[in-house]
Amino acid sequence: MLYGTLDMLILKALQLEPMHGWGITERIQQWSESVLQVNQGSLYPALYRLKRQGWIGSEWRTTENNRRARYYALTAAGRKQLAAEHRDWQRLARAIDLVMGMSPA
Amino acid sequence: MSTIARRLLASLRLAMGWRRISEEEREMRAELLDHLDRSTEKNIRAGMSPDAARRAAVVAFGGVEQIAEAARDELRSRPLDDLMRDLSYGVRTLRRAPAFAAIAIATLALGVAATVTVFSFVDAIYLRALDVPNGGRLVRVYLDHIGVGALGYDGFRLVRQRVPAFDEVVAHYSTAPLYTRAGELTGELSGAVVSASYFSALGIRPALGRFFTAAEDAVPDRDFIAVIGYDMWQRWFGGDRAVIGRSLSINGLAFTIIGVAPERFGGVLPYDAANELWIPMMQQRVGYRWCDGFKHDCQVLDVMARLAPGATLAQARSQVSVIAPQLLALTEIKNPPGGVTVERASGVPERNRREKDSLARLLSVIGLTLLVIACANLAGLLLARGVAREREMAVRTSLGASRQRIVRQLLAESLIIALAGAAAGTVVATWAARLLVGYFSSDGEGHMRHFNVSPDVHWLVLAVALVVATTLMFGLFPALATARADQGQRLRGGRGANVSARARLMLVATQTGFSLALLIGAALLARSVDRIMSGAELDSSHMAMLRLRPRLVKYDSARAEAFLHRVFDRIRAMPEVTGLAYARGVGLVWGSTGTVRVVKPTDAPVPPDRQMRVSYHEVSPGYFAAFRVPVLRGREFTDHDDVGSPRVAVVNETLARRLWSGNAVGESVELSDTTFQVVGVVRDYRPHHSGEEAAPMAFVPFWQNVFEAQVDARLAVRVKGDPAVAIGPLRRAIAEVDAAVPVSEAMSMRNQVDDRYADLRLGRAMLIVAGGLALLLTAIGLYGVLAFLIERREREIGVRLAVGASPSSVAALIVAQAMRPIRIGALAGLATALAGSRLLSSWLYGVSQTDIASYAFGLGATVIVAAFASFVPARRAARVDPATALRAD
Repeated sequence: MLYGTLDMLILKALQLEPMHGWGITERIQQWSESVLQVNQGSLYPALYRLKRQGWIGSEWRTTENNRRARYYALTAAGRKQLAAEHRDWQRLARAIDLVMGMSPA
Repeated sequence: MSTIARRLLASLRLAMGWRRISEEEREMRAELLDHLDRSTEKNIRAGMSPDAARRAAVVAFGGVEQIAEAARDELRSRPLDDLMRDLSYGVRTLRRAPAFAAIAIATLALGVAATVTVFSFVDAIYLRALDVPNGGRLVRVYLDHIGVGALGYDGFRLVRQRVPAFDEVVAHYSTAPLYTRAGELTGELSGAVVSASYFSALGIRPALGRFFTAAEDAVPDRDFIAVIGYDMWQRWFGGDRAVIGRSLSINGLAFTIIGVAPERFGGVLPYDAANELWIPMMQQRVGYRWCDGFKHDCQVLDVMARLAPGATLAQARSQVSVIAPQLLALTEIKNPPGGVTVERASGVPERNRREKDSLARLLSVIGLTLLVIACANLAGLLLARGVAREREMAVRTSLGASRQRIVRQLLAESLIIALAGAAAGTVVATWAARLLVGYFSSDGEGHMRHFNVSPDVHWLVLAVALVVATTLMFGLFPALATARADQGQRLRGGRGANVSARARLMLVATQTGFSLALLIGAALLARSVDRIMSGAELDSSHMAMLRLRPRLVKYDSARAEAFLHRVFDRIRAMPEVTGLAYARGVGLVWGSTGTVRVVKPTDAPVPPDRQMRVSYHEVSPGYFAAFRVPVLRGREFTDHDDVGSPRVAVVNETLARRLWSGNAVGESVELSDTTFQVVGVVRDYRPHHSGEEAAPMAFVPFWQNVFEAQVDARLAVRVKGDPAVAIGPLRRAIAEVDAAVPVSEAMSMRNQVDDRYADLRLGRAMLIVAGGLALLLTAIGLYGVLAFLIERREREIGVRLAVGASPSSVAALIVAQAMRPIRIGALAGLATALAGSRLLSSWLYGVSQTDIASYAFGLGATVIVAAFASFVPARRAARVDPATALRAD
């Protein structure tokens, strides 16, 4: 996975609703049509990092079949951060697209 | 990591309030296991057997422990953890730049040490209260009159009765020469005559035995008791506790030891006269010999007092002012300019302060200058390093480090440097203060002084705060630049570098100026010392000095004369003695006995106040031969020039020229209304240093007792070998004649000169050290800025070389660039030295404040060192390979 994009993807995954860690990996995998596989070894450190930066919050909830899991949710700062990172990403992606789209003269 | 270390760390964490860690860890573990379970379930749903599903999940997961570890790292990132990490990262960074770190820390240490040492010293002289329990509440009461400010015995009694703001009033005469004998041991000790209230007012307790009681200090000449100093107890009695009750002979009278003063207590004038022996006020006639201290026209005793609890200095002053007219009426002084003074007993007493003034001021200037230079150097170093790291910072920013993070990182590095420097500086300051104490801990005769110049905590805190502030300020420069400049520009290396280069050139100029001023000062004092040590036209080699004081043991003149003659015969007979001179003098042996009025009897009468005054000397037969002063005409005094023979005098060339324009032998001269026949003319000599003007001098025979009968004498004995070695045999010879007579100030003439000019030599030593350090720092600063500039201009230099500039012209370019700040700094330094040399004026013997040689030396040294510092970078510039330089970047 592209360096530095994991945080953005996690934020994006949480944009709709709070989720637990496993759910986040599943969602990213699903949305990316299985192209992006989030390595668990980097997911949890990233979650703690985002939490420490104040972009996400967490709480323990009881789930569907009576299991306890930690749910993560975007904070207001996290929403702003997501928007900013998204903008940057769009710029970069467009730039790369432009370059790669050049047909040899 | 060992188990013990792990436990320690764990308990440390607990202590620091990281209890939450364990809870969070538990939650984290639960969360990770939950994740694993879900993965396993998913695998089972996909058709795997439970075991295989679990295994696959674990394999995919990559090990709970590793993840937990990585996650824990993120968890731990609390402020303190961040700081620790920043610090350890900083240490690593600095270890990669050991030269920078070493120079920066050394520079800081120097700044801290210089400031703390110097100001602790000044503080001790001017501000520190006496080092006794009640030091803060003690005051001095005296008449504001130079030389004779003591209130005396009657004044003491009046103050004791009439000033309720004082709960203890003390009388003391702390400069009493007490010639003391205990068995075989003899010596003139610096003693004090003190009232019984002295010890209780100071609040000290005896190390052994007891102090005087009021009853023992009530009747004149009755109680012969003494308290000895701790050092004397150790030195004379080997610390024997049976010393109490032993007998001592003090100025010829038997006293009983009743107590030992506490360690490190040296009386109330520790700088001027550290006391080793105390006798009661009622024995003041033993301590003082010139008049009777109980009579109202003989003010011997000084008054100190302790403020009563709750009483203020202002109250004490107003109460004293009420009795001031009565106090004045008790004395001979009719109108002292300041009336009666009441001041806190802090530092050196006012009247001794003047002589230390110039030293204290000079040391302060040296300390501040070194601090400025050190800070300038440090700023330069940090700026250079900041610029050098601009790219590193830019790279780190582009890799995602936040600005806050970079600022924190730089702060941590600066903090490490500042703390290391401050710690090193504190160590150096302690050591330097000890050196200073050593310098002042004894006088020429080895009498101990207890002068507390240990580093002062306030100054330490101040100096450390100052250097830490400087370091943090300049250490942040790159971070600020990071905040300002646009990233791309910094990656290319841009404007910040030029600003910093200019700032650094200015810093180099500042350092140059200050170090030049210090060097010039050092040169001036060095030349001054040189003039004194080598320039006096009295041959001081092989001269041993002694002072015989029969007056202390109350010999009359007849008895003293008989004693002196036997001593002189004895000394002349010693095989190692080649010459003997003695004189009556008030200061050193080469000082004069006093001044006299001089007139030619053949001239018209002149009123006394218009007559010429010259220094005169009462000198022995053989005086000029012993000091190797040539007799130009006539003869010097012989044993026959005594009370019974006609009055004769010897004059020096200058006086002979002034009065008789040449040959004076056979002429008559009136010295203070007494007529003498001139029998000889001696060559002019300058007694102190070769820079002084030759002054007119008159000499009269010691034994003609012209103005007063002789009792005491100062001796100068020329010996064959080392004069210091001869002191012992000389003392023994004198003791064989009469062991009761005090011998003091026994030392070589060189030693006596050294002691006399101790302040000057200390000032010189400090200036030389400071000047050298300053020059070294300046060279380092200059080298640093040049090396840096060349690195930045490598391309430009490459281009120049490529288009045909010769390597030597490139080197010249660099040197020229180096010389610009040096020129500016040198001009400033010369101006500073001109203004600052006034500080030294009282110490310049035979050297002018604008002494060309000293200025030339300072300038020369600065230029040579600057040239040397720029030579290495210049050579490197000349060797730049154009091809490489142009390909760079």
